[in-house]
Amino acid sequence: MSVDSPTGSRAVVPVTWNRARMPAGRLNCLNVRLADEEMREVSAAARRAGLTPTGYAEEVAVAAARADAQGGAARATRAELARVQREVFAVRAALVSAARSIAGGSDGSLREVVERLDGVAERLHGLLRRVSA
Amino acid sequence: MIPRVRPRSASVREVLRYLFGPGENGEHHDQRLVAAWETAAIGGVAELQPPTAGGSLLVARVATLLEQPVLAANNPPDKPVWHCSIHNHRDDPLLPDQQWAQIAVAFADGGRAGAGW
Repeated sequence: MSVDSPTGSRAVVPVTWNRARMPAGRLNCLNVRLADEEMREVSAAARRAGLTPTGYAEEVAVAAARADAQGGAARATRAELARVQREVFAVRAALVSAARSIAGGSDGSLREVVERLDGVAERLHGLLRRVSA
Repeated sequence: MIPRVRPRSASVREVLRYLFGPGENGEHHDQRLVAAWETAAIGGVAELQPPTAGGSLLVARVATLLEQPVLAANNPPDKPVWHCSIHNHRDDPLLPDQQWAQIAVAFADGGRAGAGW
């Protein structure tokens, strides 16, 4: 279990979750130090992904480590990742258009879906950056 | 309208940081977004306004939304940022944001351009 301390006053407290539990638990711990701007960016990305900052950092770090371990195989998937990313953009654009035509975009649940999609796009962007390097 | 196309650049994040920062001689005041591509956000440009923290405007979200399609493109250009500043003549009346938004849309190919803006 992880607890994230707030970094500043927020008018709206978004609903976020820790990532899925493992039956055996996760017994190892890393301490990560971030600058204020880095912390704000990580927190914003975590909110869009529907995760706590700690859960987001855990998930992204493990995904990056696994992609790094794949080496050449990971680089070979750049085109495929880019295609998936473009599909995410197309879905996002269609969703935003639909949401704006429904009650002028006042449906908060659709806004949350867009934020979740932005979280997915951000993670894909991170993977793309890694395999493009 | 007096447009001025700036040299292309590689990082939209750096351009936004400059535009939403104080400027070279403190000439930037009251910066805000007035328009963006059609599907940028459900609530329109208001949802994308860079928030203020510690006295500075944070451009991370807008920058990320603009950077992502470039990296996901086939053969993205080395310098994907096209930057055009537009101002009116000193004798012209001050324009409201809504009118500047229409001007921005016109300059960005009527909003039909594939890239974010």
